[in-house]
Amino acid sequence: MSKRVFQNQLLNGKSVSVGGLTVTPQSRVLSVRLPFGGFVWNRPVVALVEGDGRSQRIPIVDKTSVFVLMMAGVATAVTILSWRRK
Amino acid sequence: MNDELNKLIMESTPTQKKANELLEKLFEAAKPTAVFSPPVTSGDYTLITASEVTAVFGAGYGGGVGIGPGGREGEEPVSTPGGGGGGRGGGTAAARPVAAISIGPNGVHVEPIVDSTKIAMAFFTALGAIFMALGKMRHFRDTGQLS
Repeated sequence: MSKRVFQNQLLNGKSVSVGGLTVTPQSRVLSVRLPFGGFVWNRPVVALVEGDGRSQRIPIVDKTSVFVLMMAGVATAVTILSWRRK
Repeated sequence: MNDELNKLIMESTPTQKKANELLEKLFEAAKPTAVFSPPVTSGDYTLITASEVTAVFGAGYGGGVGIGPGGREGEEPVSTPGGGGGGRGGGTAAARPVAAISIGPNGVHVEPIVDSTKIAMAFFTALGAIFMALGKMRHFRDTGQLS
């Protein structure tokens, strides 16, 4: 990986071949590199499946984060609606 | 004066070098190998776990030298050199399983891994935030003051 200050990149993991199918997982990395510190957020996004002459992209959904963000959204909406009603 | 400055630089440079080395290690988390595990095969199935990895690190250091008035009372003033330095750093890293990719006779499936503890904590935190906000609003409505 290059040493840029800000990086938002899709990276390929190691491909695995099983029974005629080749699976290549991909992750998205968001990184900030500063002289006095840094931050890295790396998460899986998709599994590429190739075999029998065709390819398929299977998304990797983080259901836990979806539920947590939904609850944060509901809490914010309830608070705003209560404020507006009063 | 030059000796003090040289001493300060010589002592702080290895510390700064170690901090920079730690910072470079942080970016090991930016590789795909940090997210996807090596494949594990059992029978007809092969499994790859996928995790979300976050890491943050920060460090700061500084130093300085100066010349101040010295000497005893009644004597000729003497320039007294002095110096000091310091540094501090900290960081955190976390990894959480997100899904398992299974490869088998039926094809490839991505099985999500749901962290029920985190969802429960988020639920109660959201509930508490709602009640706190409603309480503040009621207090503001009744008294006209925010706190």
